[in-house]
Amino acid sequence: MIRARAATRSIPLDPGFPWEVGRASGQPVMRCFQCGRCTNGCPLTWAMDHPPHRLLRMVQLGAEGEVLVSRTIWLCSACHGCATRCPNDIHLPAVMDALKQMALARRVRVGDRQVALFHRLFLATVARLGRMYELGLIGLHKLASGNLFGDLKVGLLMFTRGKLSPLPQLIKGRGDLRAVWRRAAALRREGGRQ
Amino acid sequence: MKYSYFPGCTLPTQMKNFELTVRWTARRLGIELEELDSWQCCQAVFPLSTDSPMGLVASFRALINAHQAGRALVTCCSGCFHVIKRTAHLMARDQETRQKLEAFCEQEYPPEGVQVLHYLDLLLSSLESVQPPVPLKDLRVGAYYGCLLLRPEDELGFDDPEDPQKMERLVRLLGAEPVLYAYRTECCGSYSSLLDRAGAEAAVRAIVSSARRAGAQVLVTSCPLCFWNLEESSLALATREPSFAPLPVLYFTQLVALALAAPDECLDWSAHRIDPRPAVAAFLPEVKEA
Repeated sequence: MIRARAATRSIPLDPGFPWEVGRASGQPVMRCFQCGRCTNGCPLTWAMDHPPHRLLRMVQLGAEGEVLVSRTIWLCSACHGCATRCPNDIHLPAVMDALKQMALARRVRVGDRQVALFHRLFLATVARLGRMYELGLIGLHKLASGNLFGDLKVGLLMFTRGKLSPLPQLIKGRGDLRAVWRRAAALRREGGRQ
Repeated sequence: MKYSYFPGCTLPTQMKNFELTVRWTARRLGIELEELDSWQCCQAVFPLSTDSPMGLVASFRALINAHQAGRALVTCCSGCFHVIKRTAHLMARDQETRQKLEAFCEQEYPPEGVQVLHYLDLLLSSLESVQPPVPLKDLRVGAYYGCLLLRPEDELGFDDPEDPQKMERLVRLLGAEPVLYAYRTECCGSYSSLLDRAGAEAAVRAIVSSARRAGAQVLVTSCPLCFWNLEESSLALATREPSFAPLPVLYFTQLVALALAAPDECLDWSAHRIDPRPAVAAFLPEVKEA
């Protein structure tokens, strides 16, 4: 007797998920018919766990759990090669950004913690100082990630060539800027309660 | 004509070779750039999700400041151009986000919008009527556009995203010879270079060897991140693979400065890790003997 053994595993699917992603990203995700042009031109597929066209198929099928923990959504560099070539006018980088925010909001295991941490520290630096301060950002990232001595040589070289300034540029009106962030946070909290 | 100038974080600190030649070429060609007062970091990445507009605050404020000065906003960095131009585009079509930002910043956005220009466009129109004193004869230049300057085309409207021509036109106006190669609009690896050097190196290997096969002697870019990736990854590749020959990288404004006979003090070569001077030796200003 021959028994066929399916090499599949079952994963929960949520049929509402693609519509939710569509709303959050403003993109017609259901239009994708898997032509694969996005994946063919993508410069970062080598590091992704799911190539872009497959991730979009997973979104269509409602594989929320798998999609939100994927590394792919954190690795997209938003080069927009895919968006330029998509025959269905789906702006894939916008979909990736919406998925990142959903992953953070739902507190799932983040697919790439280093990238998520970098995003957070970058925003915190700029919110406080108004301008980018590379050395401060790198320091914070190293402390928070525990990777203290990686890239030390490149960093030293950049420092000695004057490419990393020892002190941040301090602009006028940093108080105004912090007030903007405070108002935004307050308005967001209000919006959340409604 | 006067413009509001948004330098961006990288030009005044890490890429003085870019900043100095922007300011010098502008003075030389009568383009008046007035730096915006206390501008902030453009955030480097345009936020694409619809629910949080905080990543747009800096561009929003810069646009309003430029409008209050009654001028168009000009920037030279591909990253800043990308983020600010897309913010201006979003303000025109998304009323809800505009109102949110107006509430956060307690400032009103002009209903008629604000014009955002890339410095390359200003150079192209100014150079039409100028005969460069040092034509870059026989210099074969590979223009490297990357991503941020071109895509998405419907929002940036800068050039054809698959077959751009503006940098090639600039190269021709300077008397040099543009080289077309397959990878001139491909991604350099972007911030993945911070994550995994191997990926950025693979991207740079493809770009540089494609340009070299087509005969390029130098690469020209307008993006500080591309500049950094091209130099760092090329050097890493060259130490491991003796057959890999790096190409020097210049900003488009440096090429213009050379053709317009800029004095030596505006050509800061110390920011380069791959010295471009041997490739452009014929066009360098004579350095006075001490």
